[in-house]
Amino acid sequence: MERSFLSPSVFIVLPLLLVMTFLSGRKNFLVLIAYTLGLGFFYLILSWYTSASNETQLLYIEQHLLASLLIFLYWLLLRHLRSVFEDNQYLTDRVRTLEGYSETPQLLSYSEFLDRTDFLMAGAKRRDETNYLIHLRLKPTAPNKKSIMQLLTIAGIRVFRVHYDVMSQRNKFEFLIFLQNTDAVGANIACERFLSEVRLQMTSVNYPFDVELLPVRQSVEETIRQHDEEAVR
Amino acid sequence: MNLILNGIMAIFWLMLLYYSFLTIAGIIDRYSKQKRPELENYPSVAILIPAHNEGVVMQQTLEAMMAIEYPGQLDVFLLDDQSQDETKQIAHEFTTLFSRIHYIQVPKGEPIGKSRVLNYGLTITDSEYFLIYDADNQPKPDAVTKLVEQAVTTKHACGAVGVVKTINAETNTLTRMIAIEFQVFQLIMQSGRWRAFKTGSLAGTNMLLKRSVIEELGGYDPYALAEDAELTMRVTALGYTLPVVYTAETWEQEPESMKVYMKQRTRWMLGNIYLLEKAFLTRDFWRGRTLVHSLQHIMTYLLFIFLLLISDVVLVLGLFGYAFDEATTPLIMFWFMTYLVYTIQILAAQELEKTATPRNVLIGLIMYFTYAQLFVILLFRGIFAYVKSKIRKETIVWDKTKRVKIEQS
Repeated sequence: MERSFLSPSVFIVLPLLLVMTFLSGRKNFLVLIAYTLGLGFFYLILSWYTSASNETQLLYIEQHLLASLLIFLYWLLLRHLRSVFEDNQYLTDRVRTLEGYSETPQLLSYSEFLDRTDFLMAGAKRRDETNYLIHLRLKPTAPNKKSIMQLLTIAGIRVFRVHYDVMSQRNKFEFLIFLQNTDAVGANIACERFLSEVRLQMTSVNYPFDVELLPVRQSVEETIRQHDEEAVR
Repeated sequence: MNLILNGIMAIFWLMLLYYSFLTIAGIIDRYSKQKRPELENYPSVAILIPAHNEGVVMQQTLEAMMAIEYPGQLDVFLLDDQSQDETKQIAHEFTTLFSRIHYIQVPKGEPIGKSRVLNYGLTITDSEYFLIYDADNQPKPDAVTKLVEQAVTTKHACGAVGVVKTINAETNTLTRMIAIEFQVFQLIMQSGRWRAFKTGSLAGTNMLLKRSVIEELGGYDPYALAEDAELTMRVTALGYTLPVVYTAETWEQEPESMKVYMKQRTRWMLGNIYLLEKAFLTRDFWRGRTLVHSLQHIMTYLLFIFLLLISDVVLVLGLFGYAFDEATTPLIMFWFMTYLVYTIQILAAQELEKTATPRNVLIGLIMYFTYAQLFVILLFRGIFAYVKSKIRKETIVWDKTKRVKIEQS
């Protein structure tokens, strides 16, 4: 068989390149796969029908690979261009949000927690309201600290209004829930509700953590520091 | 000679068309948005974890079980089948703290294996649904909820199947290839079958089933080494469907050495030969949707390997100068198409899963010549062990896959 530069695939490739320019990324991928397989079957049937010699079959394979490579490279180019635009938009939208949150959804990073509580306390001071902090500290002997923290987070999310009361992990051993606009009685009730939610998931008689209810007068850090100093005394 | 060749080529045609069709159907299915239905009431679920000497992975597995968020009643049962390592101690640390985790010592019994342990687990639980996780699994927190939602809302569904991802895929070339194989199976085969025939298959782990259905079936077949594939056939024969939930993910580790891999896969091969034998003897396995699974089984574990062998023979003879000039079929084109369909499936799965790094693509391109060839060895190993067990009238013993410690941040 004579080599020809006008292989049958040329007649499909050019319109296909045009069509792909206007299709979405997903449809383009489907077109790429369907085209590569379809062209393969076309050459297979052609080889069978014409009882193609080994040399002709090799030529068909060569033509198939070249035509597929062309479509593949075009698809890759379109995909890359689209992803650059999309990623840029997505990342711009997400950066601010992600900065504020830690690995656990709806649990604030500690720095964001401090910012939020400072803001809430400024408002509370103007309105002459009081705020409380539920402070949980894991016992040093507690096993499976990671799972306990996960449990506390899930229970906190279930019990508290995530956009009103804020929660965070101070470190690997301390878990904090800031309750705004409440008094000692209200804080006690909230704490009991939280502990009963935790209790549902625990079998041990004693909690593997200590719980304290602290009135917050200045800042969260100051409150914990003062409390720790009193405990040492 | 040409007649035999044409017969073989007819099988080639069938397989090439079927797998090409599944590839396209799989991609369409993955690209169509899966709706997430919400339920008013979430049924009770028992997670069953069969374990035998799983101390290396148990801590991470139970931590993952505690992180699962499910709006209904959820209990985790660690079914310890005579472990001699620290499995019990680790479990004890969790059971003393958390009411969700239960440690169950499974009594000694025969035949040894996962199916018997699961049957025991079913007798000591009473939840509406049960879910199986292997002892090295770390499901995502929302996996159970998503499986339940699809199982409850899909017509005729008796459960649902999630996807399994490889936690140690980056360790070496073998684990990369296994991860790619899993992607092809789940993202192309599973989703393609669901899109085209509305039927899915159980994956051995991350699979949810309705208790009433397993009771209707009389439990797991304790002699089935590929208990997931065997149960798929029986469930489908009853007219039930198994929706595939791509977003319900679990992570598990795969063999990191060839020795462990060959052992595990020989067991799978034995299980599938057992199932082939059972399929040939069971009329119900050739009706309706079950026919899809039976044919798929024959194509994967019999025809694919048989044709792979023929393709190797043709290649070797060609290298020694035998050109097959007198053949009336285009052998070279057939060989090329086989390679093309196999490799396109891999590349499509990598694109869908967003794992198409240059290294993974390169590995995908050589898998036909390397990883796929292992199946020829596995088939011979499987047939040899199966025939031997038949002659000696022995029960094939369950061979546990050896785990490794994987450090996680």
